[in-house]
Amino acid sequence: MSAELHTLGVAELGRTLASKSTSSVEVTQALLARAKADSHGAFLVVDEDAALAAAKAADAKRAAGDAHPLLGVPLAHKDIFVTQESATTAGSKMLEGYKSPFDATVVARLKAAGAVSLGKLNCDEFAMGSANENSAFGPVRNPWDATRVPGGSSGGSAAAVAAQLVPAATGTDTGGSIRQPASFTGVTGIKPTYGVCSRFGMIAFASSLDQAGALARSAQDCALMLSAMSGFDERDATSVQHPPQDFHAQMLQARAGATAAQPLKGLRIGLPREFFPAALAADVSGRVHAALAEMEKLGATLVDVSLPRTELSIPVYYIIAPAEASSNLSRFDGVRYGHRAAQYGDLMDMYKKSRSEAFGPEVKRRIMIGTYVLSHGYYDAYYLQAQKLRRMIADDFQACFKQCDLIAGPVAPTVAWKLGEQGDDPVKAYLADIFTLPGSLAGLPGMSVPAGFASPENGGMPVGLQLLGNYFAEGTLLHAAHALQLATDFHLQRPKT
Amino acid sequence: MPVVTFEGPLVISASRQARRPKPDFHMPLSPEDVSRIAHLARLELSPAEGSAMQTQLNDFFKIVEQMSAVDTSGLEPLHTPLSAIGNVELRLRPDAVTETNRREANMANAPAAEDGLFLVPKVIE
Repeated sequence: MSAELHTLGVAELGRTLASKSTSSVEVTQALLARAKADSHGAFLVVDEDAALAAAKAADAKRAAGDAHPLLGVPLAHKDIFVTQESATTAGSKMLEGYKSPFDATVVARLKAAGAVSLGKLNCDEFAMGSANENSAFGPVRNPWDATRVPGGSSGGSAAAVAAQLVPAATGTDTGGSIRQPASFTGVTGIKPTYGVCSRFGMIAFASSLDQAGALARSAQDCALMLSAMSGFDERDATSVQHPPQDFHAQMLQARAGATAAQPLKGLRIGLPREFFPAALAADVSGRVHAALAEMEKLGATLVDVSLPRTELSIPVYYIIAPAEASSNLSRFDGVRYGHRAAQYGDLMDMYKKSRSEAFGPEVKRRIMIGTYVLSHGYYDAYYLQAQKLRRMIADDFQACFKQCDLIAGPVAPTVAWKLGEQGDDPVKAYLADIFTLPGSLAGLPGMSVPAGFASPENGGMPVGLQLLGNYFAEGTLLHAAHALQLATDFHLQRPKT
Repeated sequence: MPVVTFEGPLVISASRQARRPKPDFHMPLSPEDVSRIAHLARLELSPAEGSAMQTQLNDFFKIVEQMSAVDTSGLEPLHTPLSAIGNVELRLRPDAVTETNRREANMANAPAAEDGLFLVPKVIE
């Protein structure tokens, strides 16, 4: 049995554990062996002792009658969430060896549900990147093709799920950091509405955009994860004051008028014409349209809509996010925690040397952009103008949602590219975020759902379908993705590793 | 930074702004601009880093130019996403002590500490 435990998703593992045909200790041992042999650079820390102790505790809880769906299920956390057991680095030399005195709320909630953390997963430094090439601890490799990137910034999370090292992982999405790596690695990812998951203990990048979510092998597994992770937290000022939600039940909720053959009957899916430009890779466009055709067969209708400020989302995001990042990252001063230079003169010199030694090039670039756009005389033209455009972008979505229930399109303009291919051109990387940024700026929930594979010229790499919902429409999103996954098997394909 | 005041605060009063010359947004950043921003950001860039930074920032601000062409007069800035669909009010909690004293745990990551205090280079001569 243990030879195939790694092939089970969250829901299946939960059922297997509930049937008592295996134990959490057995599952945890099987997955620890895989995590320790990880050849993709996905894991930064494997926490064997803590994981086994948690697995034993989960087995004892089950024996005592606890039956939470995540009880005893192994997972791992993006290293942007602080954890008491493992060191937390945010993929940066700045925090090498940092041990948090507390757990992030998301971590604590999954722990309380009985999930077993195997350790911490690689990510772009402070979650800044789209390829996981910006980690101070080395890149992550795509399990489908080790010469390609897994996407980012939750690249370790995506690769670990795709390579079946864990059935699910936490991630964070500021401008697409869950959806894009999910798309690049053929896994399912969800970023809920801004404020649904607590940001407490999630190392801050851009506070008005950062949101936690999950990567797993199916919409169903994402729903189970999100139910446990989310909910009001008084420690996060922007946490939404909603009672705990059962996203799994919302996912299963049948639509009014739906039939067995047409579970999506009545669902209107808007296709923004700006999401299908001529420059879109034919492979991506083809797979996305094929998945949408499947959804039509399931009863959905496709509607032509427009998000006219899609291209403008790039400068708007890359003003707002660095502005907030420059402010958030000013806390790293070499005084209370983090790296301090070995040699320095006065206090100013200590700040400058500590920060310059420990931050990587992309983080420095964003701090510089942010500092500049917030500085005297530039604030109105850059930051304030970007915030006003952000309102226009959010309003454009509300206009769309008058005509449709969900919005669909590609997650990224291409499939996963080769490591190093983007070279030293950060702007080129920023432009590739075009389809995920609008939803992030508006704070909407979004998913990446596997939609098939590119042609051999593009390495047969996975392609994701992006689904965006209106605020708090996670249930509608998950329901649609689940229906697609019951009718297709794209999400069940695994790389040969 | 906790000790040093930033020159670029988040909120600038209109009167303070008016006293400054209007910046020219079409002028590319010079090496001196890059040094000034690096100082504000408390970063020290090597000559090679500074020169690469200058090129990359100027490339970046080319894609930002399109922002200024949009008329946004009369629009409220969207500071937090949910205010797109309603008023977002800042929540207040009762003014009561909720945290226990965890000074040792909270200082355990300090690069230099003594007697429960963070150590920094001498600030006042």
